[in-house]
Amino acid sequence: MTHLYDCRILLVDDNEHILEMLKGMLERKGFSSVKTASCCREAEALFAGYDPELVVLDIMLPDGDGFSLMRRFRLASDAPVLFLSARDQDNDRLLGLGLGADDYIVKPFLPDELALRIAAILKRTYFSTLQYPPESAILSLGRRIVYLDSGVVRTPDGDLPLTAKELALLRKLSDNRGNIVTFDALSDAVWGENYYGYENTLMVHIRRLRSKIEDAPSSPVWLLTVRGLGYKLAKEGEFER
Amino acid sequence: MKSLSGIVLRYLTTAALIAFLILFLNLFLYFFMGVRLLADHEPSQPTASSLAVSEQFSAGPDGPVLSEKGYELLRGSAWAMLLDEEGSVIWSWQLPDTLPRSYDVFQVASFTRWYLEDYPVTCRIGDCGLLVLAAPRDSLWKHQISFPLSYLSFGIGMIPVALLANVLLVILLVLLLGSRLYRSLRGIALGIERLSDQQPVSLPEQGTTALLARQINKTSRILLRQKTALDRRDDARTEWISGVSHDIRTPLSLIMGYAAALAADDSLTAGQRRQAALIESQSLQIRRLIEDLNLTSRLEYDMQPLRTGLFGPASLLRGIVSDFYNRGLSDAHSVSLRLAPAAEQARLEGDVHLLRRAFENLIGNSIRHNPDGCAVVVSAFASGDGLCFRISDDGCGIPADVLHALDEAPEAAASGQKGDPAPHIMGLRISCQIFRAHGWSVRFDDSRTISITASGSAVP
Repeated sequence: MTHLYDCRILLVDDNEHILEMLKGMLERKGFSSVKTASCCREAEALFAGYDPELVVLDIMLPDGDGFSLMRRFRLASDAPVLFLSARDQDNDRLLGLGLGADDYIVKPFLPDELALRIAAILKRTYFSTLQYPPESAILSLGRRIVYLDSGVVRTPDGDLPLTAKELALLRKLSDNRGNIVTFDALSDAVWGENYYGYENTLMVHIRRLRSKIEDAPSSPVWLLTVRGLGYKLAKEGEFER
Repeated sequence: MKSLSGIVLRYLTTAALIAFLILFLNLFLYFFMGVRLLADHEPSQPTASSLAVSEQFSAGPDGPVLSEKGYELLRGSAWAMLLDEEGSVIWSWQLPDTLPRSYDVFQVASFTRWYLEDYPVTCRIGDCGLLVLAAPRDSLWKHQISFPLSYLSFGIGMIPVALLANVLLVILLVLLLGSRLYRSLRGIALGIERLSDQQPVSLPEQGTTALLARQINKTSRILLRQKTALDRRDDARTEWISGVSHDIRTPLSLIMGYAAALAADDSLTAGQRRQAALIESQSLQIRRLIEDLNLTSRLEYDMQPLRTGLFGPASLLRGIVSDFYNRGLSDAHSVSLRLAPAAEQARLEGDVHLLRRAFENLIGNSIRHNPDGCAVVVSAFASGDGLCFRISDDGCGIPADVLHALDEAPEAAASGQKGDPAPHIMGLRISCQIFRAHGWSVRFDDSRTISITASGSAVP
């Protein structure tokens, strides 16, 4: 397996039309190895020989339920499981995720969303540590480059070190680049606490951070304040890995 | 039980008042009659007053003479005679021949107290002699009564004691009967209380209130049967909605899947791809309606479990408003957040997932129904009742018929039983249901402003 789209995927659903539609959709998205099963017995037989790297599992099957089937799969393999079911009750969702499923999607679903979630699970399970080592994370902010893992900002005038808190703030903002990150989310990420009581502290840290990543800290172009809500790291430039 | 004590107390007071009233009436009548009798101590009927008659005698040359008025007074009497000191009759009126014309001391002493030849007589000593006035036979009963004076004075002294004893007896009886009434009514009152709490009632059907108890037991059985039937119907309805929505999900997945595939198929014309995209977006709308219908029916019958926990409302609102911007908001729209310090500090208990959905529905409604743009203001501040949230906009406002449907018949509006409710009422209704499921109150200040109060919330 050299690529995400080479992963073996097993689809289990009692509805043949759904299986056909899903298989076609995944193949169009580039997944080259997709097999289907319409009952527990067929799925177990396929599972043994096919050894799938991801299973998309329905809960209500003609000869059993998806939860039990997942338990049996788990005895033989740690392949991630994504539940795809018409059962929308919280209890089902919690039971599925509680059993160790990697995701739970309720029908009807957006095909693109399902494909993205499958890709995300596969990436997380099989490729995250192999292909994208975290030490290469670089944040480009115009003339300045932030090396997130070493905590250094490279400026035309030289390198500036970031404190642990500044780095944590910048990580959170860069993870959500282009989006507003609320004061609460930032406080939680940096201090693990509610925002209330940290208003001034957060403001001071943001000011110091701006002095390191902005050319003109008093008129910031990268780290923007969204009044009453939080801060946003402007999306211009590339976030390279 | 407080009302029962009140009833019994009122009964006792009334009974005591009636007893006193009767007692005073008796006393009044007694004294009134006594005064009347004293004033008229001579029996007026059927005989005349011997005093009045004796005063009508005057001495004439041939003996005593009775005036005309005297004769008139004699009317109704049997006969009359006047005796001199010797006991001889010196004047008479209708005196029967059978009666002697002279009487000795023994005879006078005898008839003075009793009867003369069975004629009840009264005597009066006047200037002209002893007047003996007889009433017709069998018309009067005469009896001589004599009491020792000490007994009489004791008797008079005993009157207030006897009255007091009577009063005490009356009060005792009233209390006794009152307590019996209280005991028998207590069970009934308890039964009615349990009925109002929708609890089953089974009272012992005996004693004075047996009939009442039987009726209450019967009512309880009927109510219980109705409640069970209603619960069963509600459960069936919720299950049915849940089942139908479950069954719709799989075919809708196919529709959405193939519509998405067709919309992305380059071999189709642009028009066909647009139509496929429309099918996909409408299917999404159906999916949202299914979710809303499921949630509203579960909230309606308290079948939606609230996964409550402590949360900061300020953080929740900031997250919601930020998400609107992050998902992309046109330049014509704005959502601003105004949080009072109290809202920053407040911690509330609730299901954050559901509450987020409720607030998102309300803000989303403002944006969706004002496609040309509007400014939404979300504020949170402390009010007298707790923490108050207010969502307002400067757009077209909620139509009057939607507000009316929400106020008048929320159930019918949601289930489509009445009229033609617009589908978008569902989101608004679900928001209201979610807030109310948390015990919060929802008020439409006007068509553009909704206030939600988290009463009893922990506002520092």
